[in-house]
Amino acid sequence: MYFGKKYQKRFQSDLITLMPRLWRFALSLAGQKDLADDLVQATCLRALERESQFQAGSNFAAWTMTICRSIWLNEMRSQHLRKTGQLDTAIESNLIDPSPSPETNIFAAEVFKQVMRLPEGQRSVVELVFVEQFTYREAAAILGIPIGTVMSRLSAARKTLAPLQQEQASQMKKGELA
Amino acid sequence: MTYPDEHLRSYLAGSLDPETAQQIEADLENDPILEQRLLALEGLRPVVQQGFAEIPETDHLKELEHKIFAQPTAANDHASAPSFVRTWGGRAATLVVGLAMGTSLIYWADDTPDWRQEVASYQALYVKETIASLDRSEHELKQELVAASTVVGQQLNLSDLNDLDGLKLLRTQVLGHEGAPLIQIVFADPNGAPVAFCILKDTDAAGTSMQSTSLKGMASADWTGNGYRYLVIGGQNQSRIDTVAKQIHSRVL
Repeated sequence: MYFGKKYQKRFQSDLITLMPRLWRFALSLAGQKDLADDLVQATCLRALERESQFQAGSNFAAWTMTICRSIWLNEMRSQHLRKTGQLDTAIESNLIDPSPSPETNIFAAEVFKQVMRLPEGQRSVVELVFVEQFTYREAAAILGIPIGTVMSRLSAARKTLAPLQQEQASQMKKGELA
Repeated sequence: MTYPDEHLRSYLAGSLDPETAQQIEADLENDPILEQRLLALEGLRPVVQQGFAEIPETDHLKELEHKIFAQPTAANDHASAPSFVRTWGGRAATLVVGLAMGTSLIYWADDTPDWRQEVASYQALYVKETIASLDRSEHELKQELVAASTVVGQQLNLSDLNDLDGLKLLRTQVLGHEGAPLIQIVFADPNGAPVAFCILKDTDAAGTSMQSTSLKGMASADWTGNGYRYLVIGGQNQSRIDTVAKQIHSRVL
């Protein structure tokens, strides 16, 4: 638990440091850039309100992402569904800016597109375990699902994404990727 | 139950017989070592990280950060209010001026332990046997560095970590410190003893020059620059640690 103003200032600073990871997780849940923005904003404000509930020494990133998941499932997802009638159709595949190495960038864009095309449940598990480096157990706790469900979602995602791994290995062999 | 690596690889590839696969998933519930072994074999991890390396765009994030934290709200009013408190990189020492037992007192109070002390405590658990079985191929070492670069936002090249005063690169892993990514790159010295190079992202950190210190009985050298804190630590040979730190400093920063 944080006490006093110096901790409150630090709490905000920790939230800002966490924002890139939080935004990626929000995108994996929401599937759209603008919804991810709204979700991150709502999460940060909720986290600030609940600052006194955070236990010092526990995993700050996991705590914040649990809030994010809860807001998405309990508040924003149903609103989105009511508005659009679509549960999971948006695909953000144009967020990668073409920069340094064309080969690296084309491949990175392809990876991003394939991950974003996964169903929401698989996408969020892949994001937490593969991108944010949470353990299976931590991902299960953040998403509020059994570890077995994490493993089965990952298993399905691995099948879809396996060709990317082969492609990367072949490009690295040819020296096209760093 | 202990599973050979080939079983775990088959499990990840979806080609293991269903009965053993179910047993692995059941064992995962209570076996953190099995979990770490499986995670270490997840070949898709570095691949997927590459796809998210530029996500989100820095400018977009800055705008969002401004939108959330610049406007006063009931929730964050207190955080932006002026106070006598000064943070060091948001994390370290706070100068507190106060009265104690009727006399004026100026002292430094840690609001968290120095990150170097925490890394040193972790590093102190490493012995030769911990790293003896680490045997990554060049391809795996590269993949781990790509993954770590993505998470921490700093390019780490295999070539920068070779020929460091006889050290052999063994492994790179992503850890975390108070929500910020912390990279630990593990080497073996010529005697097989563990040495680590650690990077902590801290955008508020002011640049500092290199300094040598003994931490938890181990030789160390640390410096700060470009929004990162760096630490080389391990063993008792301060001269080697200083040499390695200078080499890394000239290549990485």
